[in-house]
Amino acid sequence: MYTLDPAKAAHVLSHSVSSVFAETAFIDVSEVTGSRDLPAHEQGELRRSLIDVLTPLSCSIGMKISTVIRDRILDTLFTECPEHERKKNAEDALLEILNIIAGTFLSAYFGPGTEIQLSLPRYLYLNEEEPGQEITRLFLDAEGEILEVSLHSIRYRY
Amino acid sequence: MRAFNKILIVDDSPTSRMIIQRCIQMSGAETEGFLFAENGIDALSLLDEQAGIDLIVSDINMPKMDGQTFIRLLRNKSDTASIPVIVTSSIADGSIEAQMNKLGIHSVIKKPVSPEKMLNALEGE
Repeated sequence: MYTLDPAKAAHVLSHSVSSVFAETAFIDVSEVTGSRDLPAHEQGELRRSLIDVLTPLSCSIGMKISTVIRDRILDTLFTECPEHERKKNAEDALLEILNIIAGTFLSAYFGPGTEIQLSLPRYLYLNEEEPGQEITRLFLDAEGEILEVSLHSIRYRY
Repeated sequence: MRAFNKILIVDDSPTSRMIIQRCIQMSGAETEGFLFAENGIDALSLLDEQAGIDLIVSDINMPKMDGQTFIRLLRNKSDTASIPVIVTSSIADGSIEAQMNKLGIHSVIKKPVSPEKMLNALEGE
């Protein structure tokens, strides 16, 4: 039976987020110490997303990101695209990055040979909570902006 | 580097489709054009409608029909069985490579896709 060690999970997750942001969007991401809450007036400019891990264990990975970072990602990915293409694909870009982070994290944590299954990533809206019990929550610095990534264990799925 | 007639990119993420197209172009591969599908069902429809597709780049985790099912069906049809396929996946757990090897596919790119990874995969085709 697979379980997640919080310390190892935090370390591997942090590295996964850093490497994916660097490779996809050329954004440097590093750890910060302590918690960092975004100012209240920026709450409406956050995007919260989630991806469920189905195999080899039941958990979820969530990401909270400001639209400032999202726009930087779009600037890199959609440099040559017209504005309407950028807007159309803005929300998908973050979900795809979360998908890659999840795959990278799980592959690195469990190593080769362990079957991994993910759900499709989705957004969390309004007061929707991240499900399950929190294993770890990371506050990362993305070139001056705070990026929040969390890992939750989900005991039962129906 | 081989030139391709038409390349079909299969991925439910428009971001990913765009990245893959760009990586193919940056790798130096030449093609007459790109076709896009969001899932295996749409990809099979395109293959029925369009002649001349001679390379497929397909994701694994997609809604409606996943990449493994799509490729299995591809291999079972005489007119599509020999089209080279490059698989992309956010997961590198070894089991995907093993499954793809059984289907005669030896190019699996772990996302994020880069021009270098794409070049290596294309040179194998």
